[in-house]
Amino acid sequence: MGKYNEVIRNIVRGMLRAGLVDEVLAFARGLTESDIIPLFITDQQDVDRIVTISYYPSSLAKLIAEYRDKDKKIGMVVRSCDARAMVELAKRQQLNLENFYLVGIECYGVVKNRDKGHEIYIFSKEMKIDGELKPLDEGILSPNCRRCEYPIPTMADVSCRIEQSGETLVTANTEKGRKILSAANIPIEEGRQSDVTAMKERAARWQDREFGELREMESKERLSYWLSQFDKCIKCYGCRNACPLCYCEDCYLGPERLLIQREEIPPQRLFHITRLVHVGDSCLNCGQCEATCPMEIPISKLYHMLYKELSGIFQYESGLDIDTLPPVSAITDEDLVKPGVDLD
Amino acid sequence: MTKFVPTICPYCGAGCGMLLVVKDGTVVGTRPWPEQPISQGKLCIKGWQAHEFIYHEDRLKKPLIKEGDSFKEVSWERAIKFVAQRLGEIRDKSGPDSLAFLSSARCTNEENYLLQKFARAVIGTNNVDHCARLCHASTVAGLVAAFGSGAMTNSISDIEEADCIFIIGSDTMSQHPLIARMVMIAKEKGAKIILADPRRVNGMMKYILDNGLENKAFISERTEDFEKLKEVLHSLSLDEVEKITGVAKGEIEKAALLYAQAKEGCIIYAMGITQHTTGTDNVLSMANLAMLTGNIGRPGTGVNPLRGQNNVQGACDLGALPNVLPGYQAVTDDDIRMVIAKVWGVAELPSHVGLTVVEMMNAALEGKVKAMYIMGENPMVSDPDISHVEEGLNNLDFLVVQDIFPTETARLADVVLPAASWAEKEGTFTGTDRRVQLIRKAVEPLWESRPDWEIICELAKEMKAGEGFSFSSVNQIFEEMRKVTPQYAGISFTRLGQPGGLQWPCPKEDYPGTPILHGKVFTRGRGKFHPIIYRKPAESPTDEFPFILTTGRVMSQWHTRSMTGRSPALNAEFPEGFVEINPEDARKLGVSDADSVEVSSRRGKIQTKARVTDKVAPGVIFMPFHFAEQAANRLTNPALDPIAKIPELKVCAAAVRPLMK
Repeated sequence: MGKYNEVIRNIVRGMLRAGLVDEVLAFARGLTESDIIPLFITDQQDVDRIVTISYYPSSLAKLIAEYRDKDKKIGMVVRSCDARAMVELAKRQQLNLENFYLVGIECYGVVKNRDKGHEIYIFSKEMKIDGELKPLDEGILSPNCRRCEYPIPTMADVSCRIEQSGETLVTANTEKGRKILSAANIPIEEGRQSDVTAMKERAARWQDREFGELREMESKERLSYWLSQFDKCIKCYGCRNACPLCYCEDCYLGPERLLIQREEIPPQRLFHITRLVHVGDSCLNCGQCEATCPMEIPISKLYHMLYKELSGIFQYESGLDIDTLPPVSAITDEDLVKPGVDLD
Repeated sequence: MTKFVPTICPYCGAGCGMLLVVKDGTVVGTRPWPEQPISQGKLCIKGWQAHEFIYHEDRLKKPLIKEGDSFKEVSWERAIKFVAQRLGEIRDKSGPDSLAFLSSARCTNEENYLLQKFARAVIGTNNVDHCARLCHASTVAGLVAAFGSGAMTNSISDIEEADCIFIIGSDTMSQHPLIARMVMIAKEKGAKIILADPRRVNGMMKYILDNGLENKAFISERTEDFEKLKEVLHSLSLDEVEKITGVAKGEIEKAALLYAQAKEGCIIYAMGITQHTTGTDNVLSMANLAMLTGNIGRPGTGVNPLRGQNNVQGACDLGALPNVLPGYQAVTDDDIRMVIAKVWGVAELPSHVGLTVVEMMNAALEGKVKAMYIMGENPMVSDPDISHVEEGLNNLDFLVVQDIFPTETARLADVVLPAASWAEKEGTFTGTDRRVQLIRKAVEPLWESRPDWEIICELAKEMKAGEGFSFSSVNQIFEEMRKVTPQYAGISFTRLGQPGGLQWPCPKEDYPGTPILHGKVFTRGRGKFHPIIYRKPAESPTDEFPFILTTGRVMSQWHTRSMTGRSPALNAEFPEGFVEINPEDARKLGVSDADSVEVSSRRGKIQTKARVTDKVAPGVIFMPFHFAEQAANRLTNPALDPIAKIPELKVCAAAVRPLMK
C-alpha cells in the first residue's frame, strides 16, 4: 500500500519535524495489516503505520472532541466528513481550529463492510482492489458515502488528491496549509481543483433513490417503516457516542434525566427523533451513527434526509465555513415564514 | 497523549472487542474496535461503559486483615504470610479436603489455571469450582454426553446463516446483545425465529417423528441410541405436552415444522434451559432435537449455549472444576493425573472428585470445609439461598476473598486481597464460541492492587511450593497451560496477536482453529440420543406459596453489580431491584405498579417494588438477581440437578404480599 500513503506520511513527518504540531491523529495499522485503528503520533517511527485505505472505522473529530490534549497543537489526517465535523465543533465553541492542522484526503467513499485481507481504494469512477483496477461497484460503499456531495476537503488546511497511479496532488487551502507544505518541502503552487461534477451527480442519484423510496411511501407506511426500525433499538447509545455533533455532557436522553423510560428496550419512539431534532440541522452525513449501530438501523438516512430538507429551506450547508451559523443560531423573521417552516 | 488499546469486554461471554482509550496513563473511555470479528465496530451499553468502574473509589486499595469487627490495612508481605500460614495450618490439621476454592469466570485463563493448580498441587484437593456451576454446568454435562464436547458447537458469526433460529430460555437481546445482532441480521435475511419454553421440545420431536420430518440419513450415519428416544416419544401425546407447557398444540406443531424444514436450523439457549434440577435433561433434549433433524456441524446450525461471563468458558476449559483437570480431563484418570503431576513437578494429585459450589457451602455449614479461598466471586449475591451461604461462610475458620471491590462476600472474610482489574493486566479470555483472545494491559495496577496470577504465585512461594509458580509473565503461564490442555496445545500468544484470536480445539501450531465443532464426526464419535422424560421442578406452587418465582438478569446490570453498580451510566438505567407480576395476579393481590411488596419463599423473604407487566404469565413472578438489597437469591432453591449439580435458580415456589403504603 506504500505509494498511496507516502505523500501523506511525508507531510506528517514534516509537520512533526518542524514542530508545527505536537502530535498527529490519523488512522493507522493496528495489530495486523487489516486492523485499522486511530493513532496519536508523536514519534516519527509511528508515521509509517498511517494508512489511507478506503475504510475508516470512526470519526476522528469525535475522538478529538473527547480525548485531545487541550494545550497541544494537533495535526490530523482527515476525510471531508471529519474536516467538516471539526468546523461544526469549532462553531459550537468545542474547539479552536487555530490549534489544528488539517491534512485532508479526497475521499470518494469508504467500503461498508471490511473485506478481510483486501486493500481497497475508491476513486471517482474506479476502485482498486489488491492493486487491480475495476469499474466502481457503488454497492460496496457505505450508504452515506454514496450520498456524499463533498469529496474534496476544501475546509481542511491542505487537500490531497491521490490518483490511481499513486501520484498525489497537494493543494494548500489556508495559510496554515502553506506552512504544512513548506514543512514537508512540498512546492507550494496554486493547485488545480478536482472536478466534483461526477460526484455531485452520484450523490444526487443516490439521494433521489434512497430518500425517494421513503417519500413515495404512504405516510402510514413510512411511519410503520421507521417504527419497525426504532423497535430494533437496544439503547446502547452508540449513535450518540459516535456522533461528532453530540457533545452535551449531560445528555437529554440519558437515564439520569428520567425523560426516557429507564430499564426498557426498545426506548420510547421519540428517542431517535429527539436526537434528530438536536443535530438534524447540521448532520454531516458522516455515517458514524449507522456504522456503530448493532441493530443496523439506517439512522444516517433519516438524519441526512431531514438535513437536506432543512438545508434547502434555510440555504445552510454544514461544515463548510466556520462563520456560517446553523439555522438554530441564524434564523431570521423572514426565514420563519418560508414555505416548509410552517410556524404560522 | 492518548492511545487506544485493543482488548476484550469484561462483561458477557460474547467476547466483543473494544479499544480502551488511555489518556496520560488513565483509562478515560471505550470505543468500538471494527476489525474484531464478534462486535464488528459495535458495542452494547455495557461495552460502551466498560471503563467506568475502573477508578471507582470503592476499589480495594490495600490488603486487609480483619481485627475484631473491622478491617485493618496491612502490607502485602504480612497478608501473604498470614494467609499462607493459616491455609497451611488448616491443611495440616484437618486435611487438604477441609479447604475449598472458588475460582472466577471473570479472571483470565491463566489465573484460573493457576488457582486450580494451587488447589490441586499445593493444597492437594479437588475442591475447586466456580460459578459455571450456577449457569452452564448442565450444558457441559449434557453436551459431553451427547456430542463429546460441552461447548457451543458453532460460531457467533455463522448464526446469521441460519434460516430458522430456535431460541429457548435465553433473553438474548438483553444478555448477549451482539449475538442478538446476528439473530436480527438472519431475520432480516428471511430466517424464521422461534422463541420457546424449554418443556415443549419433546412435543416438537414427537411431531417431527410422526410426520416423517426427521433426517434419516444423519441419524443412521452419525448417531446412536435413536431407538431409545423413539420409544419415549412413542408414548407421549401432544395433548399432554400442551397441558404441561400451556402452549397450544398448534403452536408446538408449527415450531416443529419450521425448525425441521429449515435448511440450516440453529438452536440458541441459555439459563432458561440449564438452571433447573432437570438442567442436564433439558440440554440433552436440545442435542436430541438437533440430531433428529441433522442440524449440526454446518454454518447456521448447531446447539449453541450462550455463556454469561467473559471467561466462564475459559474457567471451565482450564479445569476450575472439581471433577476435571485442564482440558476436561477426569481427575479420576490415573494416567492423566500422572502426566500432569509430572509437568507440575509434584509426586501426586488428588484422585477423588471434589465439591461443587453448593456442596462447598453445605460442607462449610457442616464443619467439613474449614477454610475457603474465593477469587473474584460473590456467592453472597450469586448463589441460591443466600441465608444458607452466609451461615456456611460464617462457620468457616478462615475465609480469604480476593477481588477488586469490597463485595458482600468480602465483608465476611478474614483476609481481603486487592486484585487488579482486567484493564490493568495481561492474559486471555475464552468467549462463548470457544474463542481465545488476548486482553491487554491499558494501565498499571491501581493503588496497591496486584493481578490475581501474581497473588497466587506469591502465596505458593510462601507455602514453599514456589518452583511450580515461578512465573514472571502471563505468557509463561500460558506456555505451561497449553502443555496440559489438549484443546489449547496449538495456541500461543504470538498466534493470538490477530483480532479475533483463535477458536479451540487447536491441537497444533499450524492448525487454524475450529469455528464449528462436529463437522464430519462428533467429538465422541457418534452423537448419542438420550431418552428424556418430563420431571417436575423440585418445588411446585402451593396454597402458601402460590407463585413460581423465576430469576434472571437485566440489560444494563451484570451479575452481582460489583462492577455495573459502580458504573454511573449503567447503574442509572437500573438502579434497583423489582419483581414483575402479571396484571391479573396484581389485581387479585391489590398491588399496583411501583408498590412495595414482600416476596417470600420457604427460605426467606425480601422487600422490593412491584412492576405490573404482562411480560410474565399469570402465576409466574420474575426477579433480577443482581441486587443485594433486594436479593432474589434469598428466596431461590438450592435443590440440585443430580448430574451437573446446578441449582434450580429458575424455579421456586413463592408468595407475594403487599406492604403498607
